[in-house]
Amino acid sequence: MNADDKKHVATEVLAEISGNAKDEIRPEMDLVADLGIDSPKALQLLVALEDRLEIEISDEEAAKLNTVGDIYAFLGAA
Amino acid sequence: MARLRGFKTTWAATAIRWVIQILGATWRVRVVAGEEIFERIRTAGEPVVFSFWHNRVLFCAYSLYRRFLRHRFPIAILVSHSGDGELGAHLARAWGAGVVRGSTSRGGSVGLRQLYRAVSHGSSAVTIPDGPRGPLYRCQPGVVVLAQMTGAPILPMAFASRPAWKLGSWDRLIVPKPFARVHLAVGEPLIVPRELTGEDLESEQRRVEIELDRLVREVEESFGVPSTDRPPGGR
Repeated sequence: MNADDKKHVATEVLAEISGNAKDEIRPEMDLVADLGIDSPKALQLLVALEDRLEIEISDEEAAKLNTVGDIYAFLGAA
Repeated sequence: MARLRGFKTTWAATAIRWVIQILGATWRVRVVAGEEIFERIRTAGEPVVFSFWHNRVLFCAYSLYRRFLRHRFPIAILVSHSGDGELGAHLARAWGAGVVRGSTSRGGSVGLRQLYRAVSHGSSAVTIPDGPRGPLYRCQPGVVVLAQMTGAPILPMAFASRPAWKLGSWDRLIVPKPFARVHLAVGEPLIVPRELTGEDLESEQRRVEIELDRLVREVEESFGVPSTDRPPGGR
């Protein structure tokens, strides 16, 4: 899976969990303030990303994911 | 060096396990509340999130071993990465529990994610609401989030013992002495609603604290004397 595919999956996951449409998800969006990703949703988000992309996200890496763009950047580097 | 440390940990965990089991054989245990709840859970086989304060981990975990794990009831336990956690992990594995390493003090931590997966696949879980490092008798959000997202109810537990040792650790870990009378109480399962705001989450944490504190008072007072180790019962 290349970086674009990963980004596509991440956008799908973010849309499902936040209740927004996929085309509304923008890199500059803050996960908490703009998408309402609180603690329970963060749990769902991280589990879904790990399971669907077959990756592991450490606590340190997770703590740095504040925006949609952070997730895209992390997946590009993952 | 690491191999030597691993050997020492394994040896220490084995010794602790046998000490607990030998001590346990002398304890006179009475369930003062909730025996039927344990029975209901064992029969139903549905996942629950067993929860008790950190200083009561020893006997509560031993009870889960005696009543559930020995009967192949699957339970995953979250154990911290600390040195004490390593001992706990060895002990839990020896008793047949699934071990997840990490902490639930943050919303989406690795430990919480692994517990979420375990419960989603049908295992029950153990979480210590004030673990791994306190503050004592303060419920961190992890246990509530786990119950909220999996739908598994929180099952609060507490015990008291006469006589007991209280160790010098941050939580004043309680260890029943040989031949001690040990009273155990199990509370009604607490179901956490799926949809919660941030404030609701805090009030659910508070609900867990209140129920655990109530159970502690109940078991302490079941000995007929006022409690000397009563949680503050308020934030």
